[in-house]
Amino acid sequence: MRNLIAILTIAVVSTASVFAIDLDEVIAKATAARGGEKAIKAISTVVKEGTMSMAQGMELNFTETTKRPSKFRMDMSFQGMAITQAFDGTTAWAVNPMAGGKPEKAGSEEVKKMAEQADMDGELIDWKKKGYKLELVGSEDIDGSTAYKIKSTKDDETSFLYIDAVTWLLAKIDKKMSMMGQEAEVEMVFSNYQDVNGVQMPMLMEIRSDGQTMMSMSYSSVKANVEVPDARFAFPSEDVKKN
Amino acid sequence: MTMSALLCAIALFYGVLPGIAQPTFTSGMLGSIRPRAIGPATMSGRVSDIAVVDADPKIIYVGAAGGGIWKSVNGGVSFSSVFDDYPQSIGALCIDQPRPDTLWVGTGESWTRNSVSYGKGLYRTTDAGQTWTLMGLDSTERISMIAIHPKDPSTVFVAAPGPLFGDSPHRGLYRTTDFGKSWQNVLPGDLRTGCTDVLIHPKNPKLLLASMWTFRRTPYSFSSGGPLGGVYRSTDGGTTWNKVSGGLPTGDVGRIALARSPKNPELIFASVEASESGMYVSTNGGKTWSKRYTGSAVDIRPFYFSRIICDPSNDSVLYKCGIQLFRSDDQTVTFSQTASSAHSDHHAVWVNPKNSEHIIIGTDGGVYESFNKGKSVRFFANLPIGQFYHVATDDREPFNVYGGLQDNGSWMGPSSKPGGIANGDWRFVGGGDGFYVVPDRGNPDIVTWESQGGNIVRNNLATGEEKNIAPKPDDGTLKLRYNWNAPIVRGNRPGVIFVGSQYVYKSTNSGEDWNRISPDMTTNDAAKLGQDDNGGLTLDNSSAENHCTVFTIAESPRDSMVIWAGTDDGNLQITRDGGVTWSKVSDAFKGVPKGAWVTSVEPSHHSASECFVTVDNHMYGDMKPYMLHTTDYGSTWKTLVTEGVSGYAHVLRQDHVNPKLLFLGTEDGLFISFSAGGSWLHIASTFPRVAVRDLELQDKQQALAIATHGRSLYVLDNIDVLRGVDVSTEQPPLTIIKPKPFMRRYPNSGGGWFGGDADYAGQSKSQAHALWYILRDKHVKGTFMLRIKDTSGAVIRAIPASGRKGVNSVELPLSYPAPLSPKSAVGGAFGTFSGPLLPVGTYTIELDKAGEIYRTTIDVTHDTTLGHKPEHSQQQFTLVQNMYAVYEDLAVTAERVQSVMNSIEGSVETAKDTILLNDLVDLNKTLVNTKQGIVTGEEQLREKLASLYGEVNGYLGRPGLMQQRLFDELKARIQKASDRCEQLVAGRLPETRAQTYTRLKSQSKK
Repeated sequence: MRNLIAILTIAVVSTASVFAIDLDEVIAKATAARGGEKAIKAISTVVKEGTMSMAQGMELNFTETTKRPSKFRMDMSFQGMAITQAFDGTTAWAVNPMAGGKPEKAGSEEVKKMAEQADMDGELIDWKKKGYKLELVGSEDIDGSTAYKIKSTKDDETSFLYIDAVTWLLAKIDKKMSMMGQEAEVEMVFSNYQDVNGVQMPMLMEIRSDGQTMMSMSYSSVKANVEVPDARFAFPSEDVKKN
Repeated sequence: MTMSALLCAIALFYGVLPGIAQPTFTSGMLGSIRPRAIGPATMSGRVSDIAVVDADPKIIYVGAAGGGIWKSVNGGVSFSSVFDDYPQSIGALCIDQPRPDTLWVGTGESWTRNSVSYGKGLYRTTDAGQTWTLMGLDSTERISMIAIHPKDPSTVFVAAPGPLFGDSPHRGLYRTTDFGKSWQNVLPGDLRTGCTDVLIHPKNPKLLLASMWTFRRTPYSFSSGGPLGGVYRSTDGGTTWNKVSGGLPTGDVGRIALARSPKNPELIFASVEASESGMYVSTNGGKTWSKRYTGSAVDIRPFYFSRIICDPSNDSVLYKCGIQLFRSDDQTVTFSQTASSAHSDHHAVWVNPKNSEHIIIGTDGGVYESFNKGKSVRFFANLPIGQFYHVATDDREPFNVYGGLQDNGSWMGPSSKPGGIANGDWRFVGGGDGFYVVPDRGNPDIVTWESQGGNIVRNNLATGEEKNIAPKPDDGTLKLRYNWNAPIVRGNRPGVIFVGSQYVYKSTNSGEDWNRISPDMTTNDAAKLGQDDNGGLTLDNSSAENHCTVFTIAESPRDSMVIWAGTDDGNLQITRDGGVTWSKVSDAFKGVPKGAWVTSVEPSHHSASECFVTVDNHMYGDMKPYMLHTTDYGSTWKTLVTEGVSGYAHVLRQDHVNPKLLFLGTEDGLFISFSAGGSWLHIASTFPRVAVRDLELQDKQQALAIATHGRSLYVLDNIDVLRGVDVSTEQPPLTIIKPKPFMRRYPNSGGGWFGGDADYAGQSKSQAHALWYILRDKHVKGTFMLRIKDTSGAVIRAIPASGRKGVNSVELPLSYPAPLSPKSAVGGAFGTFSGPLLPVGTYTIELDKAGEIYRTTIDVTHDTTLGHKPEHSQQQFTLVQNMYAVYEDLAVTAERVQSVMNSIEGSVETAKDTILLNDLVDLNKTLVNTKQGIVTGEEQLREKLASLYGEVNGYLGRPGLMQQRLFDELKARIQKASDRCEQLVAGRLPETRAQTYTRLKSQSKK
């Protein structure tokens, strides 16, 4: 708690002169607010369980598993179907009962997306090493509080990250996403941060388009450093398909 | 420090603790309340410039006259707007071609027609339009051309004709040598003379040419031409300049367009407005000139069409903009017309440097592309940049909107349509320039519209018949004076319409007959009535400068005897006896310049004596907004605050329910006041900085229709929620807007076919039934949930709530959760994705904000509009409920079969195990699909019941008898399967069926 107060105090001082701050400072504060690089990197696996709520009251349950380095798996269950998407660091694959139910390797577009999902640290940590170009481009009002706007570019793809000027936590990401074949601007809004192993993690993510919430993901359980075997992420060979 | 103290600290920082600071409302706090763009792009709008990346012509930037910048990265298949936060009037675009992510933009159109908007300086992006920086020159108002030094990108020349409506030193040719950090006016002209065109020699950048133009517009005149005008030449990189005389016209000259052949840089063309306009050619880089051509290609409206474009790879070919597009193939000896099927009035042409056949052109009606130099063209039907003057609505469901546009006629279309409002949904009402288009209050098929100068026509949309109904002079004058944009206004009763020339006319039978109900309402000032000699060097009398006319009329919604009429020359008059006597009340205005346009009158819906007025003085060079308010029939006026408002004022509307809620449209955008004009909120983050010319409230559907002059039409829904916002009182932490009853129906998906990505679709109204609430502070810590409970208090649904500061909305899941579904490794159980809609009744909605509970109720009612009898809907609900239960029972059976199956598979020990496993596998095959493949055609109990459930659940009327019978049959089979299951799994499972059910249910709620 003392840390938070310190952060708040800094916030009050620094936002008084909103543009007298540079990118490095915003990143440093955002990282500190999350719990610090040491605590973030001390987490080797995360297992999140939750519910996605969509339009017209549709809901589905999911389990999202991330493991260092660069492993990711999403299991969704929807009306008796088990849908899996996973990435083992090089190969992205999926099992979709509506497409026959056999594990299938994904193309390069998905690999890129999954690799992003698999990055537990986010764009702000080791950004140069990871090939991002970041720029502090201003500040904006996000849902009633000021946030710093960081432009992030990598491989011709641009997104905007918004860091709350008081809590220094990631408030929102704006991104162009392909939705049903059409490119659409979506906003991912993060809230209800809670402490998990000394790291602040959002328990709610809303996906908005044109200000309307299209979908929200709420996490009922987030556990860090749970033992997860690498095989969970690997493309299933015939004998472990039942996994 | 406790958590609450921490929250206090945060609240303190935000300045929201009551008593410490008044909460200020920002447009970010309107949440999902934001105007939606409904288009149309059907007729698009005026384009002032186009820029294309030479090395990658898929990247196209379109500069709109009043609609910002639109970028395509796919050759025009789709466009997105990239300049919403900045002035929407674009003068010039210039890509730094060797560094194509850099684009310089001069704001402020230079095609200086009467309705032109204004700019606020020069902008630059270095990341292809993602972010922009103001580079200065913000007093120039208009910029017509930009040239970048070919070797040094930090040196840029900007041609600024400058302000249109008044004297100003902020015009001329500006030069920067440090990327815009500092500017030097290297060719200043004078207070009336600026620079329009600049050319820089591609090989020897010390050599420059520029053209100077003297021009001025007033509300009643336009003039072009003066002694300073002409072509100027510099040989020292723009530091010193000499007027070129050799071969060019002497005496007064007007607007000059310059172009250099990229293929042959010594070859220069100049289209010169003069007492005899002509096309001049220089073959020595502009030192000496000879006249090559006179005629229509250069005579046509030089202020609007002075642009010439050389084919980069063929020095014989030149395009000249005009009402038609002209092309010369012989270095301007002769011209022929091209692109004849494109909209008239051309302002921009790009010629592909690698393919002369490929051109892109910008017109008053959008952008066209040709692959044969204009012989045949295709239209980009995806640029919603229409310049509407007015908007009206009808009472249909959903309501329609009606409006007229600059050079693009009069149209009507739906305000919403499932799947999006397509270009083809818009209906053409009439041609010319369009302004007011009003449907009759009794019969919306009867539509009155006009074209410029008071050509007033009534259409019957049902029969297609039209009639010219313009009032005729009855006082010995041969011609009535109608404004370019003459008012056609509905009264309170069907059939009643008013129109204005210098007089006010009233009809009670939709324009069949008229009564003149006023004397000349204007100053009738002879000094302002010289339109017959308008234009300067080139005569230009299009009715655009008609003056001393009635510009706005309104009947009080409280009292039809009270009528207000405002003129373009400063008069506001009121009658309280239906037009027998009028009194001039504008003399009581305070702080308003004399002679300024009365742009709108808004008699209150709350009191006959109350009225709001907007006044606009921009055509005298004064861009300030003026808003006035009276509560005593105009005897005295109070000026509304203008702090936070920018742009000259076009229209103000007062909400029909909450008198404190005001909507204001200015040249800079949309503003809302929650405090009767005590302060204003600029709707800036969710709405472009576009001119808002007209607003109309639609009472039944609680919406605001917005006419923009550059971004077509918008609709702001949920006005009822805005009525709940009150910034003047001490707000409670959470205010729930009582939700409207939910009439049981499913949203209409609309569909649409595989039309690709090229067609524009206007945004439709959200069909979600939402709970709206207002939070005083942003929700920071703890969970925030929304629950729906039935009368017994049982929770039906629980979903995360939204915690934005200000207005929030959460779509209410007004159905039961989807049923448990039997598991299968293949295929989906389509049809069971949602539970039945909640039955008719009253439900409690509970917002749980970290333990603090706020409640309201919602009524779920029978939707009579669907035409189902309530008892049939009840019958349907009962059947769905039964199917739901049976389906869940099947899920329990499948779970029990599959779990025993899985537990013994791979660990078969006895022959008995083998038999059991085989029996279970056989049974499972009848429960759910198991065949591998995508199109297997397999349908087992799960798939059969799921599909039947989907059919019955999706239709809220009486279920068919065959559906009922099939269900009975499936139910019996599922019961049989359940019996067989229990027989097989007996002794093999630790839990009972009831326990399995409870476990599955709890797993379904994570």
